[in-house]
Amino acid sequence: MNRQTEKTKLTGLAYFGKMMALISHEIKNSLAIINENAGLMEDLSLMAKKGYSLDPERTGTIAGRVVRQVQRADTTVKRMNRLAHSVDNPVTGIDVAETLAFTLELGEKTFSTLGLRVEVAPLDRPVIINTNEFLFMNLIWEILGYAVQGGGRAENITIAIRRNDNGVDLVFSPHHAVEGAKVPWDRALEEALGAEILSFVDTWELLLKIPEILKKV
Amino acid sequence: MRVLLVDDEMEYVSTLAERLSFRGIEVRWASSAKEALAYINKEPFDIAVLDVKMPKMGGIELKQKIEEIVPGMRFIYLTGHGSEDDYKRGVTDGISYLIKPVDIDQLVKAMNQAAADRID
Repeated sequence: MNRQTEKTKLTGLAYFGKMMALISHEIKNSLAIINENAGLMEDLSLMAKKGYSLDPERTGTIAGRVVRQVQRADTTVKRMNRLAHSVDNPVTGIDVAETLAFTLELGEKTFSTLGLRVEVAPLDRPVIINTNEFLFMNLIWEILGYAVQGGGRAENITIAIRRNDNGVDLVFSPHHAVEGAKVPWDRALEEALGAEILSFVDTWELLLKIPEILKKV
Repeated sequence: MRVLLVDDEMEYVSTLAERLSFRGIEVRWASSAKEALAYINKEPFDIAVLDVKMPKMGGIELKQKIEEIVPGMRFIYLTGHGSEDDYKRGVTDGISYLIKPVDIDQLVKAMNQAAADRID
């Protein structure tokens, strides 16, 4: 196994671990709300036994909270499942905007904690590329992570997607981890995707070029 | 005992506050660090129960800010995260560190312990 492949695997594992931690935290929050509302029902029932009246509207509100949190937890588990299956195929067709949106959903809590808002500029029609879905998501995460850590600390980043002759361009703007042509992360992930990253200091933009078809992983 | 609960999950913190009030504890709740600091500057509290992971300012940073205003305040951390680093930090600070979902009796016990330890 060569060094670049080893680096890609380690980066991927770190990303996967981070996502699992975020997912478990989200599920814990749902469980905590369900737990408290179940406890509240117990408390109200005990009070009813002592003669306090139990308001049906109140119990309806509590039940509604539980239902919402079950739905929230279910959504979180679906995301976890999708992440898990993103490693099933070394190369698969992905809708770039949709996969980008999913990557952002997964990292939502982290971005929110860091005060970062990321928007994807809307597209007229889907852009599909054949690539490694997991590595694509991993690279997006790395790029956004360094945008926050870089000097200037971006608060709002827009990602524009456009087709090029050989695949797709993703333009991150503004991206403050840009220092001339140098980007602060290891290039192994970029190379594994057959991608190229270009940075533009004058416009504080970072351009990620990904081929339409990934030839080898 | 006057308690300030801080957690960005409003459906969680408001319900927990209500349950604690049924148990005779005087509670205020806040869903952000900013709101919590507004309460701290306005009213006296014995204990602050803080969620560790919150947007913009988490519980650990909030604790430091509160201590600048109210030295001697006692704290309890609540988290769904459960990372070993966070736990060790809490233990090092001498702070109870409870992982959600929390048993309310366990929380009340931790509050009573913290109140007994409070430096006036």
